[in-house]
Amino acid sequence: MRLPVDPGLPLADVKVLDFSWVGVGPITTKYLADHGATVVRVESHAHLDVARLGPPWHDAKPGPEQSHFYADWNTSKYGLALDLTKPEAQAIARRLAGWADVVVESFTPRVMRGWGLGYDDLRAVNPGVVMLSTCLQGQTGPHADYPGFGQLMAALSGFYEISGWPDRAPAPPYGAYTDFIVPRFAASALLAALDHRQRTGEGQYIDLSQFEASLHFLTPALLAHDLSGTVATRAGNRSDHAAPHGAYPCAGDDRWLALSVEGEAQWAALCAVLGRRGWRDDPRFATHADRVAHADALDAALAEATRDADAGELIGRLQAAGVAAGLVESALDLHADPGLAAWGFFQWLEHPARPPAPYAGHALRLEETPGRLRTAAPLLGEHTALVLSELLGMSAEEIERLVAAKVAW
Amino acid sequence: MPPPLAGLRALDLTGPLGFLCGRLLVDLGVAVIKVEPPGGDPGRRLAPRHRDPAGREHGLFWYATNAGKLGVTLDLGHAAARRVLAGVLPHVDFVLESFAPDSPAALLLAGAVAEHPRVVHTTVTPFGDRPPARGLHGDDLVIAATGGFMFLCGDEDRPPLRLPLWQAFCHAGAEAAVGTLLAHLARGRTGRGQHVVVNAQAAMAWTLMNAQAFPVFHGDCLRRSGIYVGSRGVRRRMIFPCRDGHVSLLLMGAQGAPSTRALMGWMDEHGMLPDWLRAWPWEQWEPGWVMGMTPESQAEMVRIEDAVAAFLGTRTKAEIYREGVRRRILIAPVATVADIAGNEQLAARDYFRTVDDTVLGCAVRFPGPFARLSGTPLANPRRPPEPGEHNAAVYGELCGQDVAALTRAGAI
Repeated sequence: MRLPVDPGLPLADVKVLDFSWVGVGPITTKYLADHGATVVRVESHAHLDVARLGPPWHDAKPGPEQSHFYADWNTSKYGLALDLTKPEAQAIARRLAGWADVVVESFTPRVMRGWGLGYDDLRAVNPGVVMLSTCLQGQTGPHADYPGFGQLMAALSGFYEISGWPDRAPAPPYGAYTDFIVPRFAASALLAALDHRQRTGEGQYIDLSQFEASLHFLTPALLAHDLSGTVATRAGNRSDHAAPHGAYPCAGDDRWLALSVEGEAQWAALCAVLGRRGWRDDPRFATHADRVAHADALDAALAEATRDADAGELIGRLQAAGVAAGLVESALDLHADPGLAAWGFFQWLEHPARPPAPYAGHALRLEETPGRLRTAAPLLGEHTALVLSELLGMSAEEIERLVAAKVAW
Repeated sequence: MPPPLAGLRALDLTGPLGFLCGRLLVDLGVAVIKVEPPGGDPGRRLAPRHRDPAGREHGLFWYATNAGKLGVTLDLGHAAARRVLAGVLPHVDFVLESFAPDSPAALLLAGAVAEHPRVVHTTVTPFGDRPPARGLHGDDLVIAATGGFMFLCGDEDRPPLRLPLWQAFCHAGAEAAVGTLLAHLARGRTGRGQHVVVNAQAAMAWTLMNAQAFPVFHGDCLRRSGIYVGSRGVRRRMIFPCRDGHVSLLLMGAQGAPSTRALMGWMDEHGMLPDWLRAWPWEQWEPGWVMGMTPESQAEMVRIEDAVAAFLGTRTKAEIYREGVRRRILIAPVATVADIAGNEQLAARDYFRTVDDTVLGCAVRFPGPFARLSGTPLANPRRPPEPGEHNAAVYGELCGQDVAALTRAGAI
């Protein structure tokens, strides 16, 4: 009982039953799916994954098959649609848990237990299963049922407080920032538990609080508070390891050069590239400590020096002189970035219902067994019949009956 | 039970770009040997810093991301370096590094690792390993910029911003942990290790919540928008001041109507619900994307937001969080690290772990496990090593090398 696999991919023998939705869970299982695991996304046709309705949209129109948000994070997966509020669908899901090595879900804690799909229920069917539950604040504690989405978590876990200018209200990062931190921890935990299972046969349960995982990106500030009472807040682009350190305007509409200059050699190189050798005689900029102390004046001088420059040309000269410099890239710039193109970041995929489009690839590459985006994300219920017949041996008549009863879709 | 990867060893030669990779492996049970130049890693200086009672400064990014590692020193430019590496490599399962491509250190290491096909070798790079970006210089800020993050972050009337605390380094390091473990599982099937390359710019582009696809489908780019949600053709506020700071709230109708109704009910209890909002059809109200904003509907949005802001301005973060949880309002405090240190949920889950640090001479409260594994719990945090603290244990006891001679020769 198996779906077709690509034996050349590193996780070709791993089977994943994925009840998760929106961001964290599907992004976590994308690592597995694109590296060969058979991932069956279980979705509800009665209560759509909200990612299916999230922008950007194909043809700029919303609809359950229009979302590129959903598409990007669900490549290489199979789509099974079940109405899990129905006992018959719950029974099917339990049978599928017997097939899986890994089960992933990201509802608030009571949901899976309420459906008879909690870890204890699934362990009874499959003692060796590795199950990952990830919700905002973890499975236990007074706020376990805290509802919400990643924007709230990014505020609660401290990222908004430190994002922006010291004299203004926070200017948060775009989107649900912690949704893009947590999958890196979740995938690491899952892969380690899977390795343990492959060596010992033992499954286990993973409770991953998105709050607790995200805080690992703020550990230095938490330690500073613990050790000396310092409360980190907004500081613009300031950092005392480099000066200048920030974004400086260039010619064009909203064009900016990002620049970080450490030490005397890079400072000398910057002054030479910009033709501002006089800066080296300015007592405000004499040493690194002076430049940090006069960062406002330095930023103003830099902005004046870069304002009419062609960003790409100037970045090329700075890089050649050994200075860390780059374009503040818009979405359009990312698509035109020759380095990302050489890396193969954007990959064009065919889709059964839409024209081909560029999908986000991976930031990691295994040289001998690289992952790849094997298929576009599934349509809602695209593989319902395939999964039920191949994995559970159901007949076409039985599947028709389930669809007619709206148990499946 | 030991952590899931107990018994495995890693040799960690990364700079700040890759520090967090080894830290995740430490938590998962791997014995990670951090290699520093004699005298200490320059990454130890990165902010924020703590000054101990003896006046010595400790960089807390280093401290956080190297906690629990074993510390050895090695001068990679020394004539004996190749021999030292050759002595260590038979004992390790992973090698982690972030050397500049084609640098002497990169070439030295690649040559040594080539003798050990079972080793998983992970290289963390700013921009990948292929021309034309191979070898470009990039630190945390430049990676945040080229990864598309900064274009979307900041106030409209000021330059784009990065997030502080080395977020690009963190994304690259954590991504490297995933890549390393994928290759480890592949090794479980084949017995062979392989080279894994991580591209920090691409790791940053993963954090954009698909903003990179807007020009493809909608014909234009999102831009930074301060306290407003990044959106097209509509300004929806997501940051509101309160009595002692800020809170984050996005006013929603349709599926979000129950939350908004609960907020209106709370405002009403305090006599701060305007009459004109009493019969508001929240279930039918969906601003922005779906509704399409006219100047009139935008003005209406601002009027509602102002009414909500007037109420929230009378409350504290703690009160708003508590009532939000109780009433199921989708609202969160813009928490400071002080708020997080006192968070009730984290306390109830015994999240923070206190470590007695004999180097700092005090107890240190660390963030706890990033995941709770029922069968193989993650390792408890330990302080990071001093430079060369484990030279004898690693080079001598583990690898059988003459530590005294290596020290005399200035190699370690």
